Amino acid sequence: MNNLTDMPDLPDIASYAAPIYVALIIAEILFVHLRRVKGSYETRDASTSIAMGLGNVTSGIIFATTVYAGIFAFFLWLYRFAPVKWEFGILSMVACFVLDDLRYYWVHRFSHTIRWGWADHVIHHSSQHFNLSTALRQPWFSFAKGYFVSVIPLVLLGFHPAMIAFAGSINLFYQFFIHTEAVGKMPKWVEAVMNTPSHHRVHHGRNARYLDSNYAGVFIVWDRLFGTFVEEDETHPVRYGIVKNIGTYNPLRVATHEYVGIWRDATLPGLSLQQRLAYVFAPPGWSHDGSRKSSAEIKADFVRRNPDEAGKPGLGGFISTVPAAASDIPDLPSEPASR
Amino acid sequence: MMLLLYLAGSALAIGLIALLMHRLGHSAEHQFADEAAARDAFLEEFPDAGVSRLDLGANGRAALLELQDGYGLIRAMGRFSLARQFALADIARLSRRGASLQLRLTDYADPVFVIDFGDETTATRWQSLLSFDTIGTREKTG
Ligand SMILES: [Zn+2]
Ligand SMILES: [Zn+2]
Repeated sequence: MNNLTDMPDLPDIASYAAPIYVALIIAEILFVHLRRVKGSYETRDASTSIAMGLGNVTSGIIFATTVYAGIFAFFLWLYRFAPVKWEFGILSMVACFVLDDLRYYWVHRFSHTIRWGWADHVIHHSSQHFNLSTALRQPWFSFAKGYFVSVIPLVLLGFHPAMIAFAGSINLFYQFFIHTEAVGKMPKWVEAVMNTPSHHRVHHGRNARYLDSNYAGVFIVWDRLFGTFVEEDETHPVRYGIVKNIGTYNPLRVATHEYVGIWRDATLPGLSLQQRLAYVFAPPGWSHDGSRKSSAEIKADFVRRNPDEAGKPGLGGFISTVPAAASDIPDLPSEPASR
Repeated sequence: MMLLLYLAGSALAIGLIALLMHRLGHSAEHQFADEAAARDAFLEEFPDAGVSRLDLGANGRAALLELQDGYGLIRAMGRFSLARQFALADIARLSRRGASLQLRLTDYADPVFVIDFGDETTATRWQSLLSFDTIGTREKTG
């Protein structure tokens, strides 16, 4: 048990990480250039990604003494009500880390399946490249989406807010290293338990079969457990990005584009209140007139065009009911959608 | 003060990484080999779009398409490409300078499309096609 004051000062990983990130990005650029490893870099794309990372850290510094301090103070207040309080130690830290990773899985999943969360998270997915710099393409105002409430159960389970923050920062640090094409598949046991570059490539894919899969942070077991795991299939190379890719490198537009989309949709004339709310909270791709497609509809549409693919990983729940001539069209989204 | 130093240092790091990539030749933009390649790339994104006509820009980096229903564009987005279907109502502003056409679109995430056809006749043809304003409220300049 501990009280509110006996937490050790935990290192702030984010403040040590930047030089490591920069060094490894430069190394990856050089290795990709020399064709020693698989991957691709593009000047403007990577510059924008790193600038987004800089904006993310800067926003964290700017709001550290206001918004984030307020959230942390709220958690500290809540922590008083935890019936059991775990002392800081290896076991409690491991438990906290694993439970926080489970929390991350659901927060990440809801970031893909609720448009309000997607407006923030889409930023991370908005590059057509997948390299270490993509990991830094992060949103600037994540606190606005309110997903920090997901931390409440961990606090009430007796984990000190500082311990949870530390677990979260290790989780994000780990995730930097899985944004790469340089590493193929890792040993079987690693691929079975851990989130790996291969699994996370799938997560960044816009191929119909790869949409809405592999939400894991560190442990891929959550996806296996909750039915969202899709294995990378080398016969279907991952095409990175989002269903409707963005055409800008302007960091401000990258940071805000989906919020602007939500605003424009929700303020369309002649909609009911329910329809306006659906434009904010329904899954991305929802539209009041059916003119766009959600991930589920894109998958179903793909299976309709390619009946042979029915039942394959990522397309499992979709049965082709209408026979259609198999086409040689790659498994890309077939229609424009808002994501 | 510390924040300013941090921002300046980070901006310098981004600049140096960008310079490194540029000098190594990683700024090259995608080029469509010919009209068929641009058409194939467009149909990969929109397999149901009936393409009636496609005009590829002189540098092979952008194309405008007339579809059975509306219009399409495809252009280089760095090493990759970016395709959109659009209607006249999606054009906020259209301007032409010689053989080059610039479309400002209402699409916040893809606001500008520029294509240089290399010949003024094609540019003028597209200008008049896209200037046919069914709403009558948009600004058009020529
Ligand atoms: Zn994601
Ligand atoms: Zn990622």
